[in-house]
Amino acid sequence: MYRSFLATRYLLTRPVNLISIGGVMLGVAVLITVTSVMDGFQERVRAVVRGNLSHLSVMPVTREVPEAALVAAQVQHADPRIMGVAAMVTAPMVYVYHDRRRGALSVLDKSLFIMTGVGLDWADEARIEQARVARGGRGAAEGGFRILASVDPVDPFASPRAQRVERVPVLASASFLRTFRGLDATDPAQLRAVLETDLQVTTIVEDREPGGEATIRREDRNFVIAGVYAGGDQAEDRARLLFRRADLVGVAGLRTPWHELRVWVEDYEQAAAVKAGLAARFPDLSIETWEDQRADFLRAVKTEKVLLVIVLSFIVLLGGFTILATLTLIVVEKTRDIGVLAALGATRGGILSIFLRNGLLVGLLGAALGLCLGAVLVANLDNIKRFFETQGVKLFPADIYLFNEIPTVWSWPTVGLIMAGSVLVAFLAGLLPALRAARLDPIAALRHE
Amino acid sequence: MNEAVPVPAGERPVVLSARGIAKSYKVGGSRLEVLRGVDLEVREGEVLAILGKSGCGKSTLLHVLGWLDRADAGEVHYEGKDRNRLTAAERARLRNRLMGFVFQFYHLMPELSALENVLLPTMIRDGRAAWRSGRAASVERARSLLAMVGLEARTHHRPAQLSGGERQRVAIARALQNEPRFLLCDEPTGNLDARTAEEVRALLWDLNRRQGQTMVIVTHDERLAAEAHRAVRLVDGRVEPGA
Repeated sequence: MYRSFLATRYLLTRPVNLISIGGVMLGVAVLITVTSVMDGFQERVRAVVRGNLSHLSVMPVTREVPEAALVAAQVQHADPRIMGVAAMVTAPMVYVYHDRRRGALSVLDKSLFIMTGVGLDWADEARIEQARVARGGRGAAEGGFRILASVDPVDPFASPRAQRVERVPVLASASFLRTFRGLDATDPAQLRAVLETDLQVTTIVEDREPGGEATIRREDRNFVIAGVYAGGDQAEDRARLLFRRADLVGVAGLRTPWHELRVWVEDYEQAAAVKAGLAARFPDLSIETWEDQRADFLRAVKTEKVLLVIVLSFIVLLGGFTILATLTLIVVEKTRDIGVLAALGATRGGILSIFLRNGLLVGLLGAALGLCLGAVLVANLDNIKRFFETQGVKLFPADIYLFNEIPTVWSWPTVGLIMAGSVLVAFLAGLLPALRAARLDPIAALRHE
Repeated sequence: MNEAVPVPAGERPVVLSARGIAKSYKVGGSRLEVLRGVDLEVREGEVLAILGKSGCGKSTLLHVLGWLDRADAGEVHYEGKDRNRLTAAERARLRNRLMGFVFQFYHLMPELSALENVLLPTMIRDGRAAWRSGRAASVERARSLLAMVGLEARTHHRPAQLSGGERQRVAIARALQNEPRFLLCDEPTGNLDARTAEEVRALLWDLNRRQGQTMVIVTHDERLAAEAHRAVRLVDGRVEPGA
């Protein structure tokens, strides 16, 4: 009974304990804040890195490519966890523009911007997007294309002008239009103004005479902007024009009607299992999850987080050393009392336990306070950021990170691990002074001045 | 062997006896022999005074008798068994239940109130469950002990708020809390002025007279020794009878 009683009393009557509690609190709060920001950051970066990649990409590995609808239907029915399949083709294109920095006008002053034409089956994309949002997904952030403006609200490729002048309708990205036409995508009037205008792009067409060699031919084409879209990744969007799949096959003279099937599953957690099932069933198809396609980058982000956590764990270790120092101080100060306790019948184990409990209490209190402080910090990071911005310090430049607010993710398992780790460090730090107290010779302790 | 000094209460049974107690300390490179074969008997209900010069080993003998220290050689018998060779934990348990220590410098816990200081031996004795169930009775006993030593009004004062005499009275109450068989006092009046020393002396005699408390008192105080039922003197690490 006396162990807890004295441990608590020593804790309450020694202000030096506050330093230890503060140290643990600070360590826990910083670790919680940093891991939550890093997790949020990782999630956002994943979304950015992922861009418009679907959960799984199915690509043909043979030269002879069957009809997209046929393969899509086979894949769709291969696994009930598959939510939807949409075919896609891609073709290289060049946007030729006048670089204002160069001044004079001549052919040599034109600059080339390499782009990719992406051909989609919009009806399939829209159906999948709808199903995904209905299941609580976050729409465009999960690999879809968000339409910012279009002539027709249902079919973004519908364009009266394109039909009239017999040109191919395209969807241009907001970031492309911002770069080359100075468009402000937050202004609805500017967005509307860009619709139904022409866009000249050079396509690269492969010609192959029967039995002859392949030649490359360039063709300047005028398309009509039927809509403006935003995908997940601005840099990728800028270099991408969206077409109806059939249009792009014709425009670019493609010999295969699809390059990739975009596959979505009910829950991305199942993607690996679905991938394994499909791979076994369709040996002629190559199947990758989006993470397979971005593996190196994702690994780099994860490594960064692990390194940061390791470095910051030293703060908790420092807290442990503070406990070690203050408890050692308390044991020295309490030497005579330890002798008295022995005289009153306390065992060595009992004396050990008093100081172990003291260290443990410091750890528990510090961790609990650190949890509160960490929660407050995480909840108010944007306010803190804004405060610093009013002082002229830009903590989180949006143009570098592509998002305005500091992203955070509160993960109880991580928070629990941090707290348990800190309490363990506190316990271990208390062990040395506690052992020292228990080993004191009671007679020498009683005579201690 | 020391001879028993006749006491008015007559010959009483021996309850604690030490035989051939030897104890030495390492001082620098050599050994300092403090006790060289001490034989001593403590009888039921008596007040035994141990006299001797400073550093002659009186306190060491008291610590050995109270199982706080272990003799290098010799035996300390209680109820027919040698308890000197018990493990540290077993000796701690016996000490808690049978011995009440009173020190020259009181040795109260500065962060505990007078009442909490008195309760400490019971807290050490009882586990959580026993403490909970016996708490009311323990507190009641501590309060009555503080009242007995005249400190009922100061139960919630910390040691720093008490005078030397008051602190020693709290220490005596603490020593009595677990109803010890023996009260072992190490210079109980050594740090007090004459008047306060007299009060503490009176308190100790009162305890012996009314409750038959057995006491071993290590002291320089000749008056205390003269009033004891029996006094022995430590000379050269051995006991000389009489005083």
